[in-house]
Amino acid sequence: MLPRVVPITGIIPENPYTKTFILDDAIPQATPGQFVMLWIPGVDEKPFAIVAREPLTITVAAVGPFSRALHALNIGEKVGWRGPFGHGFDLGGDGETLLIGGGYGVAALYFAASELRKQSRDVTVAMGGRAAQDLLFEERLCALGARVEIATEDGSRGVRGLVTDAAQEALMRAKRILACGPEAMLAAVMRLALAKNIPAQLAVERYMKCGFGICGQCTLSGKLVCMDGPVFTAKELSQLPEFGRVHRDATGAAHFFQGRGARRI
Amino acid sequence: MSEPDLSVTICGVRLRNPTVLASGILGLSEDLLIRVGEAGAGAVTSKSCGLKPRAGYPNPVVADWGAGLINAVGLSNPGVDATMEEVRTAKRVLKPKGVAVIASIFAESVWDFGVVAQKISPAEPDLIEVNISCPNVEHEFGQFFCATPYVAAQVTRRVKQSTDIPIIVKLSPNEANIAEIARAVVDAGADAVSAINTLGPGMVIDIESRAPIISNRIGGISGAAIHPIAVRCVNDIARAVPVPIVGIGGNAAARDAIEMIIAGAHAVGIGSAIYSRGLAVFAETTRGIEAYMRQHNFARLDDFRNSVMETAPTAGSRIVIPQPTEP
Repeated sequence: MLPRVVPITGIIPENPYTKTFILDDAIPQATPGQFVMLWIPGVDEKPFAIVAREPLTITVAAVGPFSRALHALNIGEKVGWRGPFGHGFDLGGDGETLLIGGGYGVAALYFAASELRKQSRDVTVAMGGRAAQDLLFEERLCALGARVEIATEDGSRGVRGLVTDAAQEALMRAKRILACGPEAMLAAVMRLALAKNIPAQLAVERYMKCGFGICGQCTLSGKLVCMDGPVFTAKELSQLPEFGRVHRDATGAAHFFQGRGARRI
Repeated sequence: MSEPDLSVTICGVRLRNPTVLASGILGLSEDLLIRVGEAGAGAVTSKSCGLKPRAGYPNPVVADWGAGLINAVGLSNPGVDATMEEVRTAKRVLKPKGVAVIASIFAESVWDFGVVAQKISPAEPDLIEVNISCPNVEHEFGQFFCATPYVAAQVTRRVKQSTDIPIIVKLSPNEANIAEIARAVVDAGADAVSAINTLGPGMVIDIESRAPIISNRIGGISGAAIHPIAVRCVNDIARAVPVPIVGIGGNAAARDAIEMIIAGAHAVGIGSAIYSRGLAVFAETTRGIEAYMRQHNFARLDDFRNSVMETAPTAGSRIVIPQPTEP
């Protein structure tokens, strides 16, 4: 599968550093949690969660050289994409689904929320960020008919604290959890889900090169995030020693996650 | 008839079956090498490591162009010191399972090939594969190390002087006479050769943006498209040198592997096919070779290795060169 190069037909600013890009193409076979490799010829190619199928939509925070180059593009300019890649969320089962998103991780969950709401299923989205300006998709999720709970670390919106604090009430009702966000958050959600015995599926991020299972760059204790993931169950992740602890750079060298919430060995 | 014996011994190292994970595919961590070994490979090869860490080229580094893959990863690797730990762990776990571990090395100079070989040796890989044939770094390293028999032999000698572990020298299909290079490296001490590295380099262009798909502009071609070339190269080498050959290039099924063995290969490398067939390709290939051996009453791989039927061109196609006549 070679990349398809198509024009950008819409750009929606979501927060001060995040934009949604609508492409002149569709990806009807995609399921929530799957990703595409987005290519700017001459720049780079990076993986992004699919936000909507038709038209193909992705949401990107400007955090590095590629995403900044993407943010500099205008409507009508062209980007390439290939996909969908990876295994997405399993949305089956009865009862309320709790979606837990940190930062731009909420974008990947939006696709799952819209599919669930199409089937009139109960959805609560707990979203968190450092401050109010880090949040995104709140209005759109409310418009779908999802219940939205918010936490910010500085207390500028919702409860002051972490997204897991915002999720407390919904955790009592939830029959399953879907989560996407920084790895420290995912590790906390994994522990919470295992302790409360709620089935959970978490979308994991790793540095990717090929995107289709042959280069090995995205290894997570021998699982390939691009093929076996990016969505894993909490149970699977609890068996992978690198989850929450180790990621790899472009050389393939392993590094420990730094900072609060990193799993200790 | 007794069970066919699919094992093969290369330079004193026994593989339980002839399938080998080719270098550059998945071999980035010990966990992945172990996973491939457990999936059925007879040997696994770590991704080529050099003296210092290299990030490689920006994406895209690999693309599926329809009849195969094109890649220019740019020899990304965390450096020999990190790879040493990877190889050591993989060896410790895989040895009891009967899976051999091959460490692939590259360097930017003849001298450094020796340094890298020396540094990787304490990890005790069963074999060291010397990658003198990556087609994607020519603009960085100058001419390929396998471009001339003289330089290929120099690298081989340097590595042999630097380690006691048997070495496999990996050759390129991109030189006019692969048999001549094989002869040169074997004369210089290579214990085995593997062939082929990727073909090309090739180029794939996106017709909308007119940009090359691969960030490096050009990349090595692999997959089904290059298998017939790999078979020819293996057979050329088998006719030229007496050492074991690891036949690599487009092997995706038992038939491809059997062809390689008939052409003269002792073992068969599998790489790009993991993309289309998954890790099951190792066990499927082994089962298929076994079925073929039963069908043909072969007890060992040796019974049909290097057994290409000698054929002569038919009279009609033979070019008749007029003999000079006596004046």
